[in-house]
Amino acid sequence: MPAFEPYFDPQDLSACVAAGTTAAGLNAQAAAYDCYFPLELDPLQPLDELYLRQRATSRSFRYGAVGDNVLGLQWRLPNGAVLGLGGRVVKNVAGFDLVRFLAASQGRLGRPLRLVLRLRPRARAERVVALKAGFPALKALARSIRASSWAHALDAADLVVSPLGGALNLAFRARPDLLAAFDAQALAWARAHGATLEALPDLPAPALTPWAQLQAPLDQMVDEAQAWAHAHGGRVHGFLGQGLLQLNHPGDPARALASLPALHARMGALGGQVEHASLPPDPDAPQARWEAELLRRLDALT
Amino acid sequence: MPLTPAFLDECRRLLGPQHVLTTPAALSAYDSDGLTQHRFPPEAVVLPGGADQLKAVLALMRGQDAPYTLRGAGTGLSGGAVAVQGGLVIHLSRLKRILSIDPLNLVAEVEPGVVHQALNKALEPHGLFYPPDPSSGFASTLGGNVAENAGGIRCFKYGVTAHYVLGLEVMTPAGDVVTLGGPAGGLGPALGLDWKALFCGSEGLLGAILKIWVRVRPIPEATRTFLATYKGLDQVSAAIGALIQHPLIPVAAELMDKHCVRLVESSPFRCGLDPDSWALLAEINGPQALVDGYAPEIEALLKAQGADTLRSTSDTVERLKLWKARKVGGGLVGQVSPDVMIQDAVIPRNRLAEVLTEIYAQSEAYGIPVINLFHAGDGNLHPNFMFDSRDPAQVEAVKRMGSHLMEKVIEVGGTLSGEHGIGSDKLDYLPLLFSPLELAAHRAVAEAFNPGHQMNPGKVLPLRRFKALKPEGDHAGL
Repeated sequence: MPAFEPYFDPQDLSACVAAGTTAAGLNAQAAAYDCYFPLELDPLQPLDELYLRQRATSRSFRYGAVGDNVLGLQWRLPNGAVLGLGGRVVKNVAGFDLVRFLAASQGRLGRPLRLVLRLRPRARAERVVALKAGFPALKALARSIRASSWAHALDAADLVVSPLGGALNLAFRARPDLLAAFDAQALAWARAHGATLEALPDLPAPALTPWAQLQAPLDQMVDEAQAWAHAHGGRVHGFLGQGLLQLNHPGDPARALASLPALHARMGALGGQVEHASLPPDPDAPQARWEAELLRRLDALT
Repeated sequence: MPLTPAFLDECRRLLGPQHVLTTPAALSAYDSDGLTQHRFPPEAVVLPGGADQLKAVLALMRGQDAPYTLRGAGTGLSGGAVAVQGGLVIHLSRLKRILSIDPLNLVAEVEPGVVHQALNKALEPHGLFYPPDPSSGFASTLGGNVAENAGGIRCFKYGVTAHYVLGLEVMTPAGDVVTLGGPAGGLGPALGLDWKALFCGSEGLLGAILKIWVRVRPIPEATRTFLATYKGLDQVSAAIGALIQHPLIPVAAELMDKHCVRLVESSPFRCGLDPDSWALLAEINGPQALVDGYAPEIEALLKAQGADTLRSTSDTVERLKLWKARKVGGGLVGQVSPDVMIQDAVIPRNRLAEVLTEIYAQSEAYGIPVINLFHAGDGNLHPNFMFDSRDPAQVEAVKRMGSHLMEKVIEVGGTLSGEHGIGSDKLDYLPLLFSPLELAAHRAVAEAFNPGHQMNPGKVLPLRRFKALKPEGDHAGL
C-alpha cells in the first residue's frame, strides 16, 4: 500500500509533501534538479489550499488542471478517518479517481494531509510577452493561438482584460537559442492582428482569491471578459486553455452580485458556471443528493 | 432470477426484434472481452439505437431481478464489459453519431458508441485531433474509453482520456439523467465536486453514458520520430530516464524488449532491427522550429546512453516505417502463442530495470515466455505472458507470475492498472493496494449510486454481487 511518506524523487519527477508546504518551498528543492511543480497562484500559498480551491492556474495551459498534477493524497475524511487516494505513479485506474473528483472540493468531503505531486522538467530559459489589442482583435488572437502548433508548446496563455483594454500574456520555456523562434511567432501574431508586443520580466500573477470565477466555452472567454469588465469594472484574468475567468473587484459589488444568477444560469446551460459565495450548489440538483448520500456513507467508515 | 419473457418482449417492441439477441450463437460473441480466458455468457443482449432507447431499457431493468452490463466494442482487457453474473448486456455500438465538431471551442460532442478512430477521421479535415490513443482505437468506442479512462502511446505528453472529457450526460441506476459539465468543461450546478471526473474510469459502475463532450486539439505542424536500439536493459532504461527529464516532454517513449524485436525480425514484417537489441521509440511534436531545434538534442541524448543504432525522421511515410515494429509486435504476440495474458501495471519510472529484471527471472523460473512492449515513458508495463490454457500447470504458473508481478509493483510504489482497469480480472490483487478502510471508501462511492450492484456486478471491487454467482463462473468465490 502507498505509504504517503514524504519524499522527493527528481528522477521519477514526483514528490510527496505535507499539507501546508508551499510551491516556493517545494520548488526551491526542485530547482537543483531542473524540475518544478509548475502550477501556483502565489508561491506562498499552501499546496493543499491550491488543490482544494483551484482548478486552473496560468501554466495550466500546458500542464492541465491542478487536480491533473496531483497523483495521490493522504486524506482525512470529515469523521477523522484517514485513507490514501491514488498513489505516486503517473497513470492509475485502480479504483475510482477520487483525486480528480475532490480537486477544488473546498473541504466539503475532507482535507488532504499529504499530497503526491507530479513535477515537470524545467527548461532554463523563459520568455514572457504581452500581446495587447482591442477587443475584436483580442478574440481573433486568442483563436489563432489556440489553433496554432504553439498551443502544444506554450506554458501559459493568460487573458487579462480591464475596462481600458486587453492583453494575452504568453510564457514559453525552452533552450535559450530556441526562444528566437517564439519571438518570431509572437511578432507574427502581433502583426497579423494589429496587436502591440511587449516583453515582460515575469508572468503577471492571477489573484489568489478572485471575487468570483466564471467557467465558459473557450471561444466565449474574450466576450465574457469584455462584457464583465465593461459592466462592472475590475480586472478579469483568464486561463485560455481552461475557459476559466477570474472576475476581480467589481466597482459596484451589489450590482455585480445581482447579475450573477443570470450569468450562472447562462453558463450552466453550456456546462460552465459562476463560482461565488452567493451561489451555493443547487440543492435541487441530483448532485446534491449524490453528495449527501456519499457523505453519509463515508461518515459511517471508521 | 432470469430476465422475464415479458421484459424481453418489451425490449423487442422498443428496439425491434433484430436488436434483441437471445440465441446461444449470437450470445457467444458477448461472453468475453479481449481477455478471452474467462467467459460469462449473458442471458440476452440488447442493442439500443439511440439515447432514448437506452434510457427506456435502463428504466425497464429497474423492474428486473437481474443484473446488466454496459458494453462498447468489447476490446477491454480486464474482463470488464462481461456478464459475470449473467443477466443483460447492453451493447452501445449503435449509438455512434458524432453530434457536433466545434473547431472554435475545440470540442467534439459524441454518442458513446462512436469508434475512437472514426472521431479522429472526422476531426482531420478541421485540422484537429483527439489526443488519447488506446491501441484498440481502430475498434474501441469513446464510451468504453471513458469508462476505462483509456490511455495509449501519446499519454506521455498528452495524458489520459479523463484529461479530455469536458462533459458527460449520464443515466444512473436510480434513473437520474444528468449532464455533468458540457462544452464549457465546468462543474455545472455542483460547485466543488467534479462528478464527471468520478465517472471517468468508473468501469460502468455508476451509470450509463449517454453523451460525451471531449476537448480536441490542433494537429501539430511537425512531428519527428526516433528509433534507437540498445544492447542492454541498463542502457535503455537510462535513455528512458533521460527522455523523462527532457523539458520538451516527448509525445511517446515506447519500449520493445529483445524478445519482441526478435519476434518481429523473424516474421514477414521484419523491420531491419538487430534481433539482439532493445528498441526504444520516441516522438516529439510541435511547431516546426521547435521540433527541428530539439531533434539533434534528442538524438544526442539517445546516443549518449549507448544507442547502437539510431534512426530519426520527420517524413510521414518514414515515420510510419519506424513505428511499424511497435505496431506489428503487438499483433504478432497473439499469433505465436495459444494464449496470451497481457498484464497492465504502473511503476515509478526509475524502477523500470529492477521490475523488468524480476519479470524475466520469474519467466525463467516458471518456464513461461514473456514479451514486454509498453509505454515506458509512463512506467506503464504490459508484460505478455505466453502460455497454453489447455495445460493446467501453465495456467497456474501464469496466475502465480501475475500475483508475483503485482506484489513487486506494489512494493516499488506502483499500482495495479494504468489503463486496462480492474474489471473482473484483478479483484484478488486489490488488498495489496488498498487497506480495508480504503476499499470501504471506494465501495461507498459505488453503493451511493448502485446500492444493489445491479449495474455491472462482480467488477472493480471485491464482493460486489447482485445475487449468488453462477457456480460455473471463474469468480464463483467472489
